[in-house]
Amino acid sequence: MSSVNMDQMLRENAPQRISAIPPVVLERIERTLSGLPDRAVMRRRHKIRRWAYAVASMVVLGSAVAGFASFSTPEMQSQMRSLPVIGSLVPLPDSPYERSVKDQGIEFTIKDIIYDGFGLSIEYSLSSDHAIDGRDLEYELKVNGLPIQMAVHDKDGSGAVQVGSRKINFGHYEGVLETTLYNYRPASFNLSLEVTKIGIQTGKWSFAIPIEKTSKITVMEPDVSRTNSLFSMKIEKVSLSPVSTQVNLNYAVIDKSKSVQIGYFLVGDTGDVIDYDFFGFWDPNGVGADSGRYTSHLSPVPAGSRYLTIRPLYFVADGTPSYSSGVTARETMNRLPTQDDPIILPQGKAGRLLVTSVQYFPDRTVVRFRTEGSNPVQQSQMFWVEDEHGNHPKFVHLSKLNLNNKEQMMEFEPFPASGKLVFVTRPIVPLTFTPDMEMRINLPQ
Amino acid sequence: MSELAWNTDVQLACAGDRDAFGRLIRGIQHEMYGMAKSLLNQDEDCADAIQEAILNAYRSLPKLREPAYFRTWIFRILIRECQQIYRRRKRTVVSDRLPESGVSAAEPDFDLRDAVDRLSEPARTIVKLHYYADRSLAEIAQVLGVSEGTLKSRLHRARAQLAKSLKVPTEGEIGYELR
Repeated sequence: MSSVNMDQMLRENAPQRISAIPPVVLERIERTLSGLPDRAVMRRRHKIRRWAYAVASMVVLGSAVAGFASFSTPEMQSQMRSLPVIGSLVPLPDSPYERSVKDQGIEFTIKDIIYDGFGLSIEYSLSSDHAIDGRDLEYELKVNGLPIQMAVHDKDGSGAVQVGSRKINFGHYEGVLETTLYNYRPASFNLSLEVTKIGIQTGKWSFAIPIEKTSKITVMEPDVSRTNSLFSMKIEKVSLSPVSTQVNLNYAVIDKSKSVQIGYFLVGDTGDVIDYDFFGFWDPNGVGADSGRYTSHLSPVPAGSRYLTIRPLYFVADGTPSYSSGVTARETMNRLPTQDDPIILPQGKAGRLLVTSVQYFPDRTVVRFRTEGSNPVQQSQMFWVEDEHGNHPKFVHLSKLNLNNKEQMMEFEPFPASGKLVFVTRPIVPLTFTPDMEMRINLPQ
Repeated sequence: MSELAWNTDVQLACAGDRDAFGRLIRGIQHEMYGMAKSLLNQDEDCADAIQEAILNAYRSLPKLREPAYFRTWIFRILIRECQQIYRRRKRTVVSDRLPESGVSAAEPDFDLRDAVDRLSEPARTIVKLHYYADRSLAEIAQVLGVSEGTLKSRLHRARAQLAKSLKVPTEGEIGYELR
């Protein structure tokens, strides 16, 4: 018997096609669907179960570690703190900034403050015996009486305040307020924090704390330099603190026939870009400076990093339409994009942007996208959505800076599934990396 | 249901919308039953398998990373449930058909359906889905998470095994699929 014959026999042997679902099955499907539990209740039960397991495990492990730590020398405790997971179980020394204020049944605790002369980080927690929404704070932060606004600071200048928080359970949140002081950066100052609203609960949680610049700063003078036919660059000093990184460098333009902007990526030992900066601009017409000293203030380096890489780059202003020229690429969404079949938007010489999904939730619409190309930060910044009439929906949340060409998420107010979403981007100038100029800086362990 | 409405419902269901999940299930209930019926004989067993598949899918929805694969994903869950029920039934089957003494186990069995039931997994499921549930090879490959080439070779081996159990000489030809 051949395969074809067996194939034929099996087809002839197949039961009759189903014309209708029998009532016994139909009734069971309906019964099952109507009896489905609420997802929120399921999640809560699951969390409680997981929490209980975690607490039980932590109690056992914590007792063992804390017991051991209490009989250890301070040096040994310090070494234990550097170990992952176990380190968090060794009791920390009290922060001089730790204090609490209770109002309206909510206790606001400042757990620690770090100021390195540029970056300022305030670690806090919220606890209450009733459910609260600790993600939404209204507050005023002042440095020596000068308010730091949510956006750019007043005449003395500072960066925006970023608030990151996470819910621990119904009545317990932990979070951090982070900002950077650009122009007014005293060695010590009086910090004032006045919180007036937590979620929907108004109240008053006020703190006035004298702050000193942290001593937890590691300074290195690597004194490494590189030169190619276009420019030279020398790293003079790198300062690391828990809240920011400072790089002091000097540079010189060698090929002065082109209009170039020089910069670099700061790359960690995992290969991920930590931050970036542009500093030298030179134009043959005499605009800009062909050499100079520059100080970068960048994001903090992850704890435990072994080395950093300075990855110099440049771009040439060669007449490529820039993001400010008004040239756009538009793509109307006529189908839902997927990871395998994304909607692709050209972004000039820099690369392209791929929209990989659009999700419609009752309270928001979420667009996921990723970039391919040399200039991920600008490529993702120069992307937005419109409706068919050119109106911009209100943003709910934007992803952080796209430094590593990883998937990004843009959330905006609910957009009707029947409406036409239009994706818009612009040509982006490509970045040129210069591998021969890369510099490695080993970090003290 | 349009593709856009389907995808929207998948996303709503993943976000916890029970009504959207119900709409999705009702949209494919006929296919679910067809698939279950091809793998199990009794309607009561089909109802059990579909019920378990619905509950498992609802519980696991937050883990569904790519909503576009909802359909494949739920059919995969359903097949797993059917296989479990089939194994349970096989263990507890009460039969009045005792083997006759003196009949060799190697005697030809001309009942093709019995022969299919005696195939080991995953050959049994592949044969039933392809021939009984009328599913394309591409679709079965996706649901079972194997390549189409792997599936074709497994199906070829299954047919050869069936021919052997029916004691019909095989010609050892290279198998090919009609679609």
